[in-house]
Amino acid sequence: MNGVHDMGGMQDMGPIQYERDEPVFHAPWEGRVYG
Amino acid sequence: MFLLSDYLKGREDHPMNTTINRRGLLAAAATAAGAAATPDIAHADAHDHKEIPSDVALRVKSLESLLVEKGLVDPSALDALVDTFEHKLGPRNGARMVARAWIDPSYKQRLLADGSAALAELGYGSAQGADVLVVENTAQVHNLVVCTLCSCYPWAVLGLPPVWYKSAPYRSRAVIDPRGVLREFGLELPQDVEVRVWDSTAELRYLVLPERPTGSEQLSEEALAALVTRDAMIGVAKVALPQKGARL
Repeated sequence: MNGVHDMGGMQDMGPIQYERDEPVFHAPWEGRVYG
Repeated sequence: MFLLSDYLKGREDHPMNTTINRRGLLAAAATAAGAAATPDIAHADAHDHKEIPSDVALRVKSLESLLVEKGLVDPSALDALVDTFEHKLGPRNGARMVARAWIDPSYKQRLLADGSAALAELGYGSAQGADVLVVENTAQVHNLVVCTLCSCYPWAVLGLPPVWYKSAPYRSRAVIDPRGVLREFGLELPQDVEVRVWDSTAELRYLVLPERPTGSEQLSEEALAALVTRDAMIGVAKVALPQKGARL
């Protein structure tokens, strides 16, 4: 059952982009949409 | 779960943009060859993607005004939700739970037996109604949590997941190459340590109970909680004493 959402085991996705001290919301609009 | 913010963030580093860069290269080559299509391609390359967020910000503002005008949304309710996620829910809650488990063996027993009930003991509900299963790291077993389908995460004790947790590289590779993923986070595990990967679902969220660092025997519950990082509770880091340079 391969599908775009089930990413387990997929290859060639590249390295993980780690963000230090990541804020909960990156921009005010993100919080508003989430709310 | 589909999140508009994820979708838009995904767009910013979508492979399409790589394609545009490749097109840019092609455009340079095409210019040299004097091809007719060059102007359009050159425009695509110079296109500034920074306009996407401001566009979204405007759309969100319009949506919010409309919803408020129609009486469907109370802006102070939105403020309260944003405040909750920014200041009340977060890895500090999980850290408190881990520290309690380290100093109180009977709490640890209850935590491993029924995570949701042990969370409730400290006053943490389950924001999404999902159960929480706590898995314990030992010298022989290292646990790693992922959600290969989307971004399932124990919000009540860790807050909202970081972007990398929701990203395609982490979700795809955590199950096929967990040791490689851990190495990228700077965690090299001995070959004789068993790695267990837990794939979260909407009904069941996992949380790692990290190993208590050696040399922390004298520390108070509060001092211990301060050592516990979000990454350690996802399983991509160990808990270290401050002088060893803990990642916060």
